[in-house]
Amino acid sequence: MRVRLTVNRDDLDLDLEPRRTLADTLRTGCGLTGTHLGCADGTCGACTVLVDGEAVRSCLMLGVQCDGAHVRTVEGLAVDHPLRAALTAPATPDGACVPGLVMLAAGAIDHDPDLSGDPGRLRRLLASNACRDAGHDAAEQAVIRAAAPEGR
Amino acid sequence: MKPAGLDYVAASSSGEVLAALAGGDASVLAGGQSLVLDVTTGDACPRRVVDINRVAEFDVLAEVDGMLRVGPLVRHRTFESDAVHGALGNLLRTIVRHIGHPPIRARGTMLGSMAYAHPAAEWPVVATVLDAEFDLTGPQGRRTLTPEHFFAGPFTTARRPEELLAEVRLPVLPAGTGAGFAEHRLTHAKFAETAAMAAVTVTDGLVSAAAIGLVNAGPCPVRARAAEKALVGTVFSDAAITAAAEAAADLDATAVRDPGAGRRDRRRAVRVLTRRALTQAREGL
Repeated sequence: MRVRLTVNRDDLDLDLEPRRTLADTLRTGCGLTGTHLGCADGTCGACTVLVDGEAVRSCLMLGVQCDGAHVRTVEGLAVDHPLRAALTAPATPDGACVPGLVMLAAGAIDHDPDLSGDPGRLRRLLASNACRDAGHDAAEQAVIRAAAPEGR
Repeated sequence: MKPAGLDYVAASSSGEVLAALAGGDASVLAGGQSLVLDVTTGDACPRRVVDINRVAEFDVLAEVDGMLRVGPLVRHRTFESDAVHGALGNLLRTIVRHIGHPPIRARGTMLGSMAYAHPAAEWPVVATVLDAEFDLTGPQGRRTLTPEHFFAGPFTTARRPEELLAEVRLPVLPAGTGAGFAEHRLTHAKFAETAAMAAVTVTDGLVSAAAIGLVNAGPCPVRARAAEKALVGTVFSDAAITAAAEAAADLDATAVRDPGAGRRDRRRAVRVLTRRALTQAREGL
């Protein structure tokens, strides 16, 4: 099935099998492996991307559903985006969950810029995602620190 | 692990939805937060998925003649806002934050949850307790069912494969109604083991109406009629709450046994959670 979608800055015309999830589409169809698959059943949120500005679990959407949509992945974060600092923070052992946490935060902060300076609310939002090793708190703190206005 | 040959239809009107469902062996895709997972794991193997997300007329939320009309594209998240006013809005706001996480609530829909009929889901119990009306549309037109007729068992409803759950209507609650919801789950990422909800109306110092429901306490959503009966007509006292909670646990719940909890544990959980939900409802008056 032909699907046209914009991924980050690229307008793509893809031939997709309907059974493929958006996560599959991004990783194998677009070569964007920054979107990680943790549980692949919607629990962990590691595969979070933005579809038309809204954070979604890309394992719970079909790629063909995104016909005409604008998808933003972690690769599409601007070079000077403050949340990029979280990706290289030393506190996250394997980094599997961080792109998802970063995209979840990025989408929410785009909607509500005040969130970046509100660690409590940000922390509650980031509880949507789970880290698969023991580093959830460290990963979460890395995102909260990167988001904080004084961190910029 | 992933089914080959899945057919995908993006419908743009309710006529197109019904035409696409008419072939049989099709699943309706609204929020997709359960369906896409079931398709991926193979728990569901539809030949066709009918995406209704582009049907603008399905995004309906309106209060008409004392009933809140909810269309198939109203997301859980809508009920976090003040989109629904009054006591019904309070009840829905109290409950919605127990559903999944923000990204799940941004996509998942109330009617999708009803049609999926997960035994641990919150909305089916709300609909059952409030005596909602379920409108199904299909090739033979429209029919309206009560919750008792709609919910047939775990993951099972009276919806025929070629039908769409087109609308659910929830009655508006009178002023002076307090809402409460309490649940037990192992972690925030898990489904509710058991939960209780309550909407209690007090008029002139006495309970004039009580709607009490239990999640995952029987094959279908449970309306705790014995607990309601114990409460109506009383002063909304601690003793009345205790009596209602006992009735919910002993008479209304069909305790489900699972590896995590025996029947006695489940009954005790129902009693405690019903008491908490009722106490919260009283505080919300």
